[in-house]
Amino acid sequence: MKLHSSNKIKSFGVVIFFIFVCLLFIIPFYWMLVSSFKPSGEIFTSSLSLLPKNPIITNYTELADTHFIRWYINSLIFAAGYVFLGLFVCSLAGFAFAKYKFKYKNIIFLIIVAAQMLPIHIQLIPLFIMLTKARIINTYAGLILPMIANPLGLFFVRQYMVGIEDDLLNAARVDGASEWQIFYRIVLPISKPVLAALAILFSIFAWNNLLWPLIVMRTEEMFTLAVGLSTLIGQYRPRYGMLMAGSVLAVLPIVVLFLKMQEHFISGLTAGSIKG
Amino acid sequence: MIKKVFYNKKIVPWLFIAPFLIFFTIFKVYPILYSAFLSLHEMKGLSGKEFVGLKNYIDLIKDSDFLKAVWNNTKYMIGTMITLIPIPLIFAVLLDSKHCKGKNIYKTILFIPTLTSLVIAAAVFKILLYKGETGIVNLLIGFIGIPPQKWLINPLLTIPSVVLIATWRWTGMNLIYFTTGLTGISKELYESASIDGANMLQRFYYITVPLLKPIIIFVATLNLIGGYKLFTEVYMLWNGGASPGKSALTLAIMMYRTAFSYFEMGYASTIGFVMALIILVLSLLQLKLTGFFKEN
Repeated sequence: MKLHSSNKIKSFGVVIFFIFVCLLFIIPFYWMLVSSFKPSGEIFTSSLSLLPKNPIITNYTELADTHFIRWYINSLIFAAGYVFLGLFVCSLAGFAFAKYKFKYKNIIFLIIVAAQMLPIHIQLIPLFIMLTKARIINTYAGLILPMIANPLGLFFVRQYMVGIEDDLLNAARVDGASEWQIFYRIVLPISKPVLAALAILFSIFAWNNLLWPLIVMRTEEMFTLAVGLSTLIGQYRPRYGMLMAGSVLAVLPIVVLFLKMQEHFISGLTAGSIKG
Repeated sequence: MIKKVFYNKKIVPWLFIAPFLIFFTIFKVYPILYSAFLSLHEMKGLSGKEFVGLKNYIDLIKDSDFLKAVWNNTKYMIGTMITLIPIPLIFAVLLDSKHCKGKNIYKTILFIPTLTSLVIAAAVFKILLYKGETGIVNLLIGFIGIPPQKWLINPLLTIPSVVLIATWRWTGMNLIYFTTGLTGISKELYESASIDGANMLQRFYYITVPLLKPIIIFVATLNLIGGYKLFTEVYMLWNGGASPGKSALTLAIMMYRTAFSYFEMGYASTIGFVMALIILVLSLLQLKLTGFFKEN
């Protein structure tokens, strides 16, 4: 295809512009990586070094002396539990709200959606007190169970399932399938895209959120990655080198997964944009 | 008998919603009511509740920290409005033009910060915003002739520092919203406008902006609501949120510290409750602006 010469200049300009912007946006990642190989003292030095002068890997090896591996595992457990249980309750309820008629259905749905407008902050102190009294503070159950009935998740699943053909479900009923079989043999497989998107939304929350696990997890070996890493920046003994090494290890799996399944990530993270 | 109930078509939908409703009631509905209840009590630690009526609310309104926090949240919100609407919008328009090659690569790169934990983003920016001339941000502004700034120390620059992090982290997300919106605008509209002699700016102002209005409003309300939830960046940048002169004290930080540094659970609940009310009002405003009530 031939381009007009002025168009060529324009397109060159736009490309240069975006390359520049992308470089700016990459700086924090680059700096994280480089700093993770520097001794903590060298991170804030008077001379700027684009590469570590004497690269060291002790930031990584010393992470093993903290509870870092445990934090990693805790985050994985949080993500897995939240995804599994959250998808379970949201998809079951989403199906009912999408495809059944029952008494009070609309009012219940409205209450759930309205509750979504109140941020989690209103529940934090009560939840802390409740979990403490129920003796599940500082446990995985205390971390996961309060999160799973996620109104946004329910809403998202319902919107998707409304689109499933009634004829398909009725045909299965004629063939003698029970409602439960219809749910897990037909509805769940069809809903894979929305479930994948939600799974990503939930796991990113579990992996990245600070405030919730900060309140529930009270001892060092129970911290999630976000909480654990936040302690490395402490007032008395900040360990930036280690913090950067830990950050690299925490970010890496998410970026790799994202590059492999971008579509699901984007639809999961933009889930809030579905209009009601 | 149990089997009959389990498969009864009238009961099955209730069984389907039961797990959700149970968890929802215990962990959402009850805590909301409990929060309202606690906010009427004075409570030190976990025991010894004393009913004090509206005292906490009256104290809160008189509390200079509270007013400061609301104002800081508002400043942050305005900051994100200034950066996180025009920048991604312009990027989206440029990406949408036929002159642009390699769109998906740019979109992917700009989206990756969104995946990064705020804990990590704030930690890295704590290094990038280093006060000396070797802080990368100071180095970069040096190129355009601005002297090095004490980003995290000067109270005037603390909120801008947090806005900078938000801009880095969220541009890619808003870019997705805007590019999705742009694909819905027909190219013929632009072509016929060009034929009528409209230049690029005119086309942007008279076609793109009006047609993207619903998405611009949506993004604006995300900023609006997000603005009042600010916590993690401040917690990280100033070791638990002790920003210079409380210049970056936010409602969430105030609530957290009241509960877990001073153990005043009643007062903390009041802060949480008021914070939720502010966000609720803003969300309702969003629904009104996006025409939610009209459509139904």
